[in-house]
Amino acid sequence: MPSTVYEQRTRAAWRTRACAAGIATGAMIFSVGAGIAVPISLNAAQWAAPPALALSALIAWQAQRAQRRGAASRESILSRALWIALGATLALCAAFLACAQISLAERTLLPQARIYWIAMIVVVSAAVCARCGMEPVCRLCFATRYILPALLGTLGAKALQKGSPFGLFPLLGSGAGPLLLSAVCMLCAAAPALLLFAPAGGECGGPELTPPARFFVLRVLAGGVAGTLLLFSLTLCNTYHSLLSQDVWGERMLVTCTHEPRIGIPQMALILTQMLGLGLATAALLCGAGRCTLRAVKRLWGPRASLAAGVIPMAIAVYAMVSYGLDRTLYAAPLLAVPEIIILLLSSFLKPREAI
Amino acid sequence: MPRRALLLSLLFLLLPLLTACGGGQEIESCLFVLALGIDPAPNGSLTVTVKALSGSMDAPESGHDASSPEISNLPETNASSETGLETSEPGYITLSATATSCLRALSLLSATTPRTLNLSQLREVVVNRTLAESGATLTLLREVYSIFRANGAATVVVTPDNAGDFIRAQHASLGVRLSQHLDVLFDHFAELDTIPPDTTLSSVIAAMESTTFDATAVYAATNDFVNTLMLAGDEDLGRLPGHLPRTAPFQNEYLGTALFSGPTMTGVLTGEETSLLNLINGNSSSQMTIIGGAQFKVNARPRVRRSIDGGALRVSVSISFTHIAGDEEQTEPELAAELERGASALLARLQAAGSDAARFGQIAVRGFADIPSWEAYDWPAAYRSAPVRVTARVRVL
Repeated sequence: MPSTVYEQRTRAAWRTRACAAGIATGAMIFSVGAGIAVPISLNAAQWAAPPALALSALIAWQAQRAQRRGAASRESILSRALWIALGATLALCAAFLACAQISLAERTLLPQARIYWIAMIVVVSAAVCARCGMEPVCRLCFATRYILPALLGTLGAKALQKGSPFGLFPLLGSGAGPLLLSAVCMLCAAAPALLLFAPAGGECGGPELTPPARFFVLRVLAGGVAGTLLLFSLTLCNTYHSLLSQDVWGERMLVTCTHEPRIGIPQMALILTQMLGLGLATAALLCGAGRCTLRAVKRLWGPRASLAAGVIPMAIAVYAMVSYGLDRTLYAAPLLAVPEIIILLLSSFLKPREAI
Repeated sequence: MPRRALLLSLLFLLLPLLTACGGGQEIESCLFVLALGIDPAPNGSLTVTVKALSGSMDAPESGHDASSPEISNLPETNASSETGLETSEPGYITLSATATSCLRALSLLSATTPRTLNLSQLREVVVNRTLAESGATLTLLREVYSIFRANGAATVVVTPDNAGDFIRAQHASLGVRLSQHLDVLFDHFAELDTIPPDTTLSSVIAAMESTTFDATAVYAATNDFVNTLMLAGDEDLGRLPGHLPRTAPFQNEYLGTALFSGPTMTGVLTGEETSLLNLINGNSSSQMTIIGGAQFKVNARPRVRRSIDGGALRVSVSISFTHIAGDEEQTEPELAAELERGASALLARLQAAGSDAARFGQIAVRGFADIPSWEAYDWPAAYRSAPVRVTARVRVL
């Protein structure tokens, strides 16, 4: 147990970082699940999430080992490249979650607004929040660690109230083959757990003060499970025929019972809670992307410019996705699993000098 | 650092304030539709009639010059006045348009009315029975719900009369506005169990698309109080609406269920049969009942268990009454036997109509691992030919 005040503060900083990774993982599981797994597996989308949960737990475990190893005194070219790859992956995850926010807002809160205006609001708000720094963002994630799941659970249960579990059966949905395909596509949902690889700032103390692996794994899994349960509520709310007819990503993310839609304040509160979770996750991932880029090129850029290194690629990615069509670019999301697995493998096998 | 976290929290809290700046609409620029009626028209067209808020407490003038444009775009409309303009009660206006599809008719109304058609406050969608029996209901309802973003909680009603005249006969009464009148009306009849539950627009669409259960809608008709029929037997509500021996300011009678098999209407149930259907589905909410010459109070929600056992459709009902008034003419076994006979006859009617309104399909689907195997199984045929077993247990305290 941590004994000194310094150790307690260090542990608190790691706790906030792990909470941020957990919220980001849960948001990604829900967004990818609603976007990709639901059209493929229909009412069995939630069963495709466990492999992503297992992978996120593995990433969290490996991140703890990497943080324990500490940073090399001089970065090699390979490690700089890995930092840039990690930063780019986190920025792309942030872009993906920003697109989820845009799609949900366009379908629910702002049905008559132009999509580029919504995209601008989402990107700017994420950038402004990330500008505050990683520690405040992580602290806000930590502060909402109980409120978010409690609100989602209560309001989601209210949407299900009076409705029988229409969509639970058939259990395998479209079948075992589509379910396997959904599980493979959803592996990319574990990418936000890479946030734990991001360089620890002064608030996290030295490598010797890194908490044990289960500290990270449990928090990442808790967030992932919350996202999976929210995904499960989509299938409880709708028959598989209704899921088939929903061809807009934002519409699929709406937790409302087709049996008895509940419009009004509870539904609006649920949507805002979902938006808050997505927004926190986007800001946390942007901060992580900025830190990774700063680590790679700190001699060229200062700390302020590092955030721009995360925001600019994210903004370009969001613009490209919105222009090309959010639903079409959804199907490129599974490619995020490639850098995710490469970084995981390299961090396992590289020597400390080159490792992340 | 805490100040930054506070600033961040504040920024997140301010985000919802941006939700109103992306496309607000002035209330005065919208035409809020409360009731919508769809009728067949000549040459395969449809006539869509809407009753909306006029925004004024004065009734519109009923007369006009011959050179004035008409709101309806065909001469043979259902306008109630000789001049062709719709007459309305104070505060409401009725419009109609005819086109080849519901979508085009609503678009025509939007294009010819100096207000934006807004279906977010819709309370009632009335479909003519001829259209409902033709299988076009799903397409019509989808157009109204998805494209015009109608209120998903609006009640779907089927009428054998002209749907436009049905909603014209719908008036605000008893001191409340029309929207509240309709809300209270449907809640009241739902409590009496004389109309089916799950008749909202979104649930009817979901049921029509589903292969595990079938849709039901409210069955209603207008009573002109001229050709009323005396009731035979002891069943007060064992009739269809439209000819009940009564008079009132409210001409429209909501009593019974329109049964669907997929998107096609295949039968109707009386008010009494609807109460029994609600009981079988576990949705019974009435607390008082009259059996024979005695009044009973239902002690607790009836326990109903539905299952499929060896291919047979089984329903087990357990209900407890307290005798309130009148003379008990039947014993508990006799009451139970009567309930079993009624439920068996009802299920046989549902099977004959091909309507799985009792939702046995949701029980049958549990035995299948995936959707392809379920869809390969011919559930409609199995449902129609399945034997029915009903057991009832009645306790009178």
